[in-house]
Amino acid sequence: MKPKSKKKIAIYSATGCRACEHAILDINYQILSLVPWVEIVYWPYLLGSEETCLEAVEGIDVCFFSGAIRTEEERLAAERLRQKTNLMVACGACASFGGLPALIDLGRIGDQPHPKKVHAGGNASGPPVLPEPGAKVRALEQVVPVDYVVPGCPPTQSILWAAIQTLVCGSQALSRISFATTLFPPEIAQAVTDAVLPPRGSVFAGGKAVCAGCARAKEQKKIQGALTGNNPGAAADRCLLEQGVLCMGIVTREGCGGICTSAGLPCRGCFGKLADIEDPGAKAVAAIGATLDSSDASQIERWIAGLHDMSGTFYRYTYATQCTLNKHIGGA
Amino acid sequence: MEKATLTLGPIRWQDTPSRIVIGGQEPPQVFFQVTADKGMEELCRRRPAEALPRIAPLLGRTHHLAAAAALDDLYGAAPPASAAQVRNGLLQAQYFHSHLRRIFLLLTHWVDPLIEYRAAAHCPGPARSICAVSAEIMHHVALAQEAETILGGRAEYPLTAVAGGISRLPAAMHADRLKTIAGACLDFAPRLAAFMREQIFASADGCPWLQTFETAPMAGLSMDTTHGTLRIAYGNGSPDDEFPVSKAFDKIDRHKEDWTRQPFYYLKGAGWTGIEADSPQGLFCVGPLARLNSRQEEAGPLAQAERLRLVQALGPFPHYSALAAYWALLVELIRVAEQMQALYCGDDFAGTETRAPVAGLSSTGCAAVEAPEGLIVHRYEVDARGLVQHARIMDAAGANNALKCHLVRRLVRQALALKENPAAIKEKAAMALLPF
Repeated sequence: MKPKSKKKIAIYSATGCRACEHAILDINYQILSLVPWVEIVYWPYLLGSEETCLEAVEGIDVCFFSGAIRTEEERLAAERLRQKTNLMVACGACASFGGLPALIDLGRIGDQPHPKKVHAGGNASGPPVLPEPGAKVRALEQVVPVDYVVPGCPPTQSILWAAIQTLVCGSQALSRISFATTLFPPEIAQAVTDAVLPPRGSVFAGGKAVCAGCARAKEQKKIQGALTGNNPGAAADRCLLEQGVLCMGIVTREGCGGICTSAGLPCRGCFGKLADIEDPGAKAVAAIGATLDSSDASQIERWIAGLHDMSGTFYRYTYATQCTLNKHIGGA
Repeated sequence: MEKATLTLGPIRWQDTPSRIVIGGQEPPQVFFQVTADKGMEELCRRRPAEALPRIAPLLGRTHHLAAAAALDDLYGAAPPASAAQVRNGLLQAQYFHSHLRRIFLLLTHWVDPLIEYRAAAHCPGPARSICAVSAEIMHHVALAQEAETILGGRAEYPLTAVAGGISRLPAAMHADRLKTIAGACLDFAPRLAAFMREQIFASADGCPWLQTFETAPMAGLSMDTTHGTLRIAYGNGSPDDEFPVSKAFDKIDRHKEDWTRQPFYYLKGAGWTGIEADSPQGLFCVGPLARLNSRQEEAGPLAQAERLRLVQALGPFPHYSALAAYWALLVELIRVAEQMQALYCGDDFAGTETRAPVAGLSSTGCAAVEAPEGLIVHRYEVDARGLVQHARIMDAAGANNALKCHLVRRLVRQALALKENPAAIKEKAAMALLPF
């Protein structure tokens, strides 16, 4: 089916690794099949689009914004894109929650504040000036309002494809029903299959915890021994947490299909916290505490003695949105 | 009177956000400016070293393997042969993926990837064949991604490499799929090379144009994977310098300028002499062309044949032009396809052992990996708890920063002399920088 008019799309990446942009570009080479439906009006990485392109274009239908916001230039880009865009999508863990780049702020706790860097020159005869770094790394929602979230580091291809089909192609999509919809909560799955927009604020991910889709057997629901941050030698078919490996699957949205746990490694929470959890770190501590099979305080102390960098583990991808006081900064 | 400063950016296809700033004086000062960094070394500080293989891919996928190799050194645990094979298989798939993407991006200079492909595919002329090849490239990108997912857990942000080995072996059911992928890649790589040679490099706006984008002769830093050592090939008749990976940061250092977030790497022995000289001293480059410049021949017959075609067309090594760098991508593409075939189809691929026992924690771990983009080096200093106190990471983008600055300065001055417009200069710069 031919669309009546092409949707105007913007794709932008702030501080990150470009994996989200690559995920869009490499989406099983289906990107080419989107061509009848979309007109990419702004994509600095692929097209070299300049700021002037953004000033000239009006009425962007959907913007996929990836990366965390670290510089003043990125903040301004987010604000400009928001002003011109109908549907603003935080694409990937960095845009959604601050992601890995925000860990830099965790490492700075206790350090002396960084002196504001003064750059020489900036005029025609001197070296160019660098964009000023922001005080903290921020997620997109801390700068401007966000309409949809596509989490993951990077988002899985099936979820990204479902989001693109729903938000960009709508009723004209080639195939509305992707297997990803089986992972979504009912209201989003229904919207995807009906080719209508899901409620604003929806997260394109599962409604349950990663544990719900993890193939590993939960046998005892007890931890009897020392906890470690990482133990790739754990038994292949049994719940990692039961084996003393600190896994964030209990507090993290499913949608990835348990990629990490199936590779023998603990979940680190790149899909973000479950909707009904306020603080994933606190919830994980409570859940693990309740699972430790001992009432002997000194034994428990020994069991957890090997755990380090708990903030960096519990908030590996969500530090910016969970652990900064200024959760919502600026934005309309 | 000075003219106003001209800023051209963002430069497309650069992994780090970059722009070119041209000063208004005569002759104009030209800067290749990287405007943002990820603060990776700072980000690693106070993290458990074991967590780094899953954090380091923020700099690129192959940093996962480099971080794991540094942990092997830190824990004194050399991976068993089967785990080393899986890691190597993953690395080859990453090469194939990365090189194909760069070729795809180059082709977008001639045919916009976001136009109506089906219509362009029916157009007469080169657009039609470029469309067909682009679609094939994307198909093989998907195949390489699949191999990466089988071996590394996922294509972007791989997971499976851990201290002393891998977290799990690929499932037996995937063995046949890997063989099929290797076969398809080996079939496609030489065909793509032939297409690029005949349709792009030989075209009027291909070869002559790309060959004019040339950097100053520079030493090349690469890894001798047979001996596990690093080698500086000076390319000027001086004997190569070879040293162990653990001495990497004894031999190389970095210099920071206020106008760019990307540091400049240089050889300590020569000292920092700046990037202004036409014949730079102490600077070096990494990447496919640096690797080809430092090698005498390719291991596989098809790759060696392609290397000889390059020599026949452009002359003997060393080379410093963008055309040679693109051709180096093709030689390496064929080489890794041959290696994927040999690895994935080998009887003993991915045996049974996943991980060597961890001997104990030392205070420093250092490793280097030849990533598709170029050599990367990771060095961690940890405390008794295994928490990183200091991380030193050289990635290919940093190692090639001096080369890119040189290339851009030459290119811009040439273009300004020809009175080319800013858009044309920006596009030329993007094409010239992409293969490095």
